[in-house]
Amino acid sequence: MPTNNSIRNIESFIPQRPPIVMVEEFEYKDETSCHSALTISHNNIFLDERNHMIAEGILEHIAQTAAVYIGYRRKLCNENVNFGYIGDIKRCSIFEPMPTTGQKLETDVRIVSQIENITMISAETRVNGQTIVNCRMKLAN
Amino acid sequence: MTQKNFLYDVVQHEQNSFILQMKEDHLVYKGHFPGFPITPGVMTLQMVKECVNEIVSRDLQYCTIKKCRFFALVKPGDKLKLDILTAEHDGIISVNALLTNSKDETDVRLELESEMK
Repeated sequence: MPTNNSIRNIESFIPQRPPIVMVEEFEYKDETSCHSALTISHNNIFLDERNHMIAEGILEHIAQTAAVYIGYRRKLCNENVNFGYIGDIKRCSIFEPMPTTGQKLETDVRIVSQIENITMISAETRVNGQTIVNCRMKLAN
Repeated sequence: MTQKNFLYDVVQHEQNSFILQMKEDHLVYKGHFPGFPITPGVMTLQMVKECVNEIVSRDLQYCTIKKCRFFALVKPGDKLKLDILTAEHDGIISVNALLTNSKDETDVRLELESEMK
Protein backbone atom coordinates (compact mmCIF):
# COMPACT_ATOMS: atom_id res chain seq x y z
CA MET A 1 0.00 0.00 0.00
CA PRO A 2 1.66 3.27 -1.05
CA THR A 3 2.18 5.72 1.77
CA ASN A 4 2.34 9.49 1.36
CA ASN A 5 6.08 9.24 0.96
CA SER A 6 6.01 6.65 -1.81
CA ILE A 7 6.56 7.93 -5.30
CA ARG A 8 6.12 6.34 -8.69
CA ASN A 9 6.82 9.31 -10.96
CA ILE A 10 10.57 8.76 -10.55
CA GLU A 11 11.53 10.87 -13.56
CA SER A 12 10.27 14.03 -11.83
CA PHE A 13 13.08 13.64 -9.31
CA ILE A 14 16.11 12.59 -11.38
CA PRO A 15 17.61 13.85 -14.66
CA GLN A 16 18.24 10.33 -16.02
CA ARG A 17 15.93 9.12 -18.77
CA PRO A 18 15.46 5.73 -20.49
CA PRO A 19 17.33 3.56 -21.21
CA ILE A 20 19.15 4.28 -17.94
CA VAL A 21 16.35 4.82 -15.42
CA MET A 22 17.21 2.23 -12.76
CA VAL A 23 14.66 2.98 -10.02
CA GLU A 24 11.00 2.04 -10.28
CA GLU A 25 9.64 2.50 -6.76
CA PHE A 26 10.90 4.87 -4.12
CA GLU A 27 9.95 5.55 -0.53
CA TYR A 28 11.29 8.52 1.41
CA LYS A 29 11.41 7.19 4.96
CA ASP A 30 12.96 10.06 6.88
CA GLU A 31 15.78 12.61 6.67
CA THR A 32 18.44 9.91 6.66
CA SER A 33 16.91 6.90 4.97
CA CYS A 34 15.05 5.76 1.91
CA HIS A 35 14.08 2.58 0.13
CA SER A 36 13.78 1.72 -3.54
CA ALA A 37 12.97 -1.17 -5.83
CA LEU A 38 13.46 -2.20 -9.43
CA THR A 39 12.11 -5.26 -11.19
CA ILE A 40 14.68 -6.27 -13.80
CA SER A 41 13.18 -6.09 -17.28
CA HIS A 42 14.43 -8.05 -20.28
CA ASN A 43 15.59 -4.85 -22.01
CA ASN A 44 17.68 -3.55 -19.11
CA ILE A 45 21.03 -2.27 -20.43
CA PHE A 46 23.03 -3.94 -17.64
CA LEU A 47 22.34 -7.59 -18.47
CA ASP A 48 25.05 -10.07 -19.40
CA GLU A 49 24.76 -12.71 -22.12
CA ARG A 50 22.90 -15.04 -19.73
CA ASN A 51 20.42 -12.30 -18.77
CA HIS A 52 21.90 -11.77 -15.32
CA MET A 53 22.34 -8.25 -14.07
CA ILE A 54 25.97 -7.22 -13.70
CA ALA A 55 27.20 -5.50 -10.53
CA GLU A 56 27.69 -2.23 -12.42
CA GLY A 57 23.91 -2.11 -12.98
CA ILE A 58 23.19 -2.59 -9.29
CA LEU A 59 25.66 0.19 -8.43
CA GLU A 60 23.81 2.47 -10.88
CA HIS A 61 20.52 1.49 -9.20
CA ILE A 62 22.02 2.42 -5.80
CA ALA A 63 23.39 5.74 -7.07
CA GLN A 64 20.02 6.60 -8.61
CA THR A 65 18.22 5.70 -5.37
CA ALA A 66 20.35 8.36 -3.68
CA ALA A 67 19.68 10.69 -6.63
CA VAL A 68 15.91 10.32 -6.15
CA TYR A 69 16.38 11.09 -2.43
CA ILE A 70 18.42 14.21 -3.31
CA GLY A 71 15.85 15.26 -5.93
CA TYR A 72 12.98 14.67 -3.48
CA ARG A 73 14.66 16.85 -0.86
CA ARG A 74 15.38 19.57 -3.41
CA LYS A 75 11.73 19.58 -4.52
CA LEU A 76 10.63 19.94 -0.90
CA CYS A 77 12.72 23.14 -0.87
CA ASN A 78 11.30 24.22 -4.28
CA GLU A 79 14.68 23.75 -5.92
CA ASN A 80 15.32 22.28 -9.36
CA VAL A 81 16.54 18.74 -9.90
CA ASN A 82 20.10 18.84 -11.27
CA PHE A 83 22.69 16.47 -12.73
CA GLY A 84 24.51 14.23 -10.29
CA TYR A 85 27.64 12.12 -10.44
CA ILE A 86 29.28 9.34 -8.47
CA GLY A 87 32.37 10.68 -6.71
CA ASP A 88 33.56 7.40 -5.28
CA ILE A 89 32.56 3.85 -4.40
CA LYS A 90 34.13 2.18 -1.37
CA ARG A 91 33.89 -1.00 0.69
CA CYS A 92 31.73 -2.63 -1.93
CA SER A 93 31.04 -6.37 -1.75
CA ILE A 94 29.14 -8.27 -4.40
CA PHE A 95 27.61 -11.65 -3.61
CA GLU A 96 26.56 -14.19 -6.20
CA PRO A 97 24.24 -15.26 -7.66
CA MET A 98 23.42 -12.12 -9.60
CA PRO A 99 19.68 -11.60 -10.18
CA THR A 100 18.02 -12.20 -13.50
CA THR A 101 15.05 -10.74 -15.41
CA GLY A 102 11.78 -10.69 -13.47
CA GLN A 103 13.57 -10.54 -10.12
CA LYS A 104 13.24 -7.49 -7.91
CA LEU A 105 16.07 -5.44 -6.46
CA GLU A 106 15.21 -3.98 -3.03
CA THR A 107 17.54 -1.31 -1.76
CA ASP A 108 17.95 0.55 1.50
CA VAL A 109 20.05 3.68 1.47
CA ARG A 110 21.18 5.48 4.59
CA ILE A 111 22.45 9.03 4.30
CA VAL A 112 25.72 9.16 6.22
CA SER A 113 26.29 12.87 5.65
CA GLN A 114 25.18 15.66 3.39
CA ILE A 115 27.29 18.79 3.15
CA GLU A 116 26.40 21.27 0.44
CA ASN A 117 26.39 19.28 -2.82
CA ILE A 118 28.24 16.22 -1.50
CA THR A 119 26.20 13.28 -0.18
CA MET A 120 27.75 10.22 1.47
CA ILE A 121 25.62 7.10 1.62
CA SER A 122 25.75 3.49 2.70
CA ALA A 123 23.58 1.08 0.79
CA GLU A 124 22.43 -2.51 0.74
CA THR A 125 20.64 -4.24 -2.12
CA ARG A 126 18.75 -7.50 -1.60
CA VAL A 127 16.96 -9.96 -3.85
CA ASN A 128 14.45 -12.29 -2.15
CA GLY A 129 15.85 -11.16 1.20
CA GLN A 130 19.44 -12.11 0.28
CA THR A 131 22.06 -9.36 0.27
CA ILE A 132 23.73 -9.12 -3.12
CA VAL A 133 25.55 -5.77 -2.87
CA ASN A 134 26.57 -3.51 -0.06
CA CYS A 135 28.72 -0.43 -0.43
CA ARG A 136 29.49 3.15 0.46
CA MET A 137 29.21 5.86 -2.12
CA LYS A 138 29.92 9.57 -2.42
CA LEU A 139 27.71 11.54 -4.78
CA ALA A 140 28.08 15.06 -6.08
CA ASN A 141 25.19 17.01 -7.54
CA MET B 1 23.75 -6.23 -23.65
CA THR B 2 27.52 -6.25 -24.01
CA GLN B 3 29.00 -2.81 -24.23
CA LYS B 4 32.13 -3.76 -26.03
CA ASN B 5 32.42 -2.17 -29.47
CA PHE B 6 29.37 -0.01 -28.75
CA LEU B 7 30.61 2.31 -26.01
CA TYR B 8 34.24 2.56 -27.14
CA ASP B 9 36.86 1.36 -29.58
CA VAL B 10 40.17 -0.16 -28.54
CA VAL B 11 42.64 1.91 -30.56
CA GLN B 12 45.73 0.25 -29.16
CA HIS B 13 46.48 -2.60 -26.76
CA GLU B 14 49.94 -3.49 -25.55
CA GLN B 15 50.22 -5.85 -22.57
CA ASN B 16 48.53 -4.06 -19.66
CA SER B 17 47.92 -0.75 -21.37
CA PHE B 18 45.05 0.31 -23.61
CA ILE B 19 44.20 3.39 -25.65
CA LEU B 20 40.42 3.71 -25.84
CA GLN B 21 38.29 5.97 -27.96
CA MET B 22 34.83 6.72 -26.54
CA LYS B 23 32.17 6.48 -29.24
CA GLU B 24 29.77 9.34 -29.79
CA ASP B 25 26.57 7.41 -30.42
CA HIS B 26 25.85 4.87 -27.67
CA LEU B 27 22.18 4.40 -26.76
CA VAL B 28 22.84 5.35 -23.13
CA TYR B 29 23.51 9.00 -24.03
CA LYS B 30 19.82 9.43 -24.88
CA GLY B 31 19.16 9.25 -21.15
CA HIS B 32 22.46 10.19 -19.52
CA PHE B 33 21.68 13.00 -19.87
CA PRO B 34 19.30 14.39 -22.50
CA GLY B 35 21.24 17.13 -24.32
CA PHE B 36 24.27 16.62 -22.06
CA PRO B 37 25.99 13.31 -22.84
CA ILE B 38 28.21 11.95 -20.07
CA THR B 39 29.45 8.36 -19.82
CA PRO B 40 27.93 6.85 -16.66
CA GLY B 41 30.64 6.16 -14.06
CA VAL B 42 29.49 2.56 -13.75
CA MET B 43 29.98 2.07 -17.48
CA THR B 44 33.61 3.16 -17.19
CA LEU B 45 33.88 0.44 -14.52
CA GLN B 46 32.39 -1.99 -17.03
CA MET B 47 34.93 -0.85 -19.63
CA VAL B 48 37.79 -1.51 -17.18
CA LYS B 49 36.39 -4.99 -16.47
CA GLU B 50 36.20 -5.78 -20.19
CA CYS B 51 39.83 -4.71 -20.67
CA VAL B 52 40.92 -6.84 -17.69
CA ASN B 53 39.14 -9.80 -19.30
CA GLU B 54 41.01 -9.09 -22.52
CA ILE B 55 44.32 -9.30 -20.64
CA VAL B 56 43.56 -12.47 -18.67
CA SER B 57 41.43 -14.13 -21.40
CA ARG B 58 38.68 -14.93 -18.88
CA ASP B 59 35.15 -13.80 -18.15
CA LEU B 60 35.58 -12.22 -14.72
CA GLN B 61 33.12 -10.09 -12.77
CA TYR B 62 33.70 -7.73 -9.85
CA CYS B 63 33.38 -9.32 -6.41
CA THR B 64 34.88 -6.48 -4.36
CA ILE B 65 35.45 -2.80 -5.06
CA LYS B 66 37.73 -1.61 -2.31
CA LYS B 67 38.03 1.88 -3.65
CA CYS B 68 36.97 3.51 -6.88
CA ARG B 69 37.40 7.25 -7.30
CA PHE B 70 35.95 9.20 -10.20
CA PHE B 71 38.08 12.31 -10.59
CA ALA B 72 36.70 13.81 -13.78
CA LEU B 73 33.91 13.10 -16.24
CA VAL B 74 34.28 10.82 -19.24
CA LYS B 75 32.46 12.08 -22.31
CA PRO B 76 31.76 10.69 -25.78
CA GLY B 77 34.69 11.50 -28.08
CA ASP B 78 37.27 11.29 -25.26
CA LYS B 79 40.50 9.43 -26.01
CA LEU B 80 41.72 7.68 -22.89
CA LYS B 81 44.62 5.61 -21.61
CA LEU B 82 43.92 2.69 -19.31
CA ASP B 83 46.70 1.03 -17.31
CA ILE B 84 45.89 -2.18 -15.47
CA LEU B 85 47.79 -4.19 -12.88
CA THR B 86 46.57 -7.67 -12.01
CA ALA B 87 47.65 -10.32 -9.50
CA GLU B 88 46.08 -13.67 -8.69
CA HIS B 89 45.64 -15.23 -5.24
CA ASP B 90 43.43 -18.27 -4.57
CA GLY B 91 41.38 -17.76 -7.71
CA ILE B 92 40.70 -14.09 -6.96
CA ILE B 93 42.23 -11.55 -9.33
CA SER B 94 43.13 -8.28 -7.68
CA VAL B 95 42.92 -5.42 -10.13
CA ASN B 96 44.33 -1.92 -9.92
CA ALA B 97 43.50 0.41 -12.75
CA LEU B 98 44.13 4.00 -13.73
CA LEU B 99 42.19 5.75 -16.49
CA THR B 100 43.58 9.02 -17.79
CA ASN B 101 43.44 11.31 -20.79
CA SER B 102 45.56 9.62 -23.48
CA LYS B 103 47.66 12.75 -24.02
CA ASP B 104 47.82 14.06 -20.47
CA GLU B 105 48.32 11.44 -17.77
CA THR B 106 47.84 14.01 -15.02
CA ASP B 107 44.21 14.30 -16.22
CA VAL B 108 43.00 11.30 -14.19
CA ARG B 109 39.42 10.13 -14.74
CA LEU B 110 39.25 6.99 -12.62
CA GLU B 111 41.35 5.14 -10.08
CA LEU B 112 40.27 1.65 -9.07
CA GLU B 113 41.27 -0.93 -6.50
CA SER B 114 39.16 -4.05 -6.83
CA GLU B 115 38.88 -7.83 -6.92
CA MET B 116 37.33 -9.98 -9.61
CA LYS B 117 36.49 -13.63 -10.00
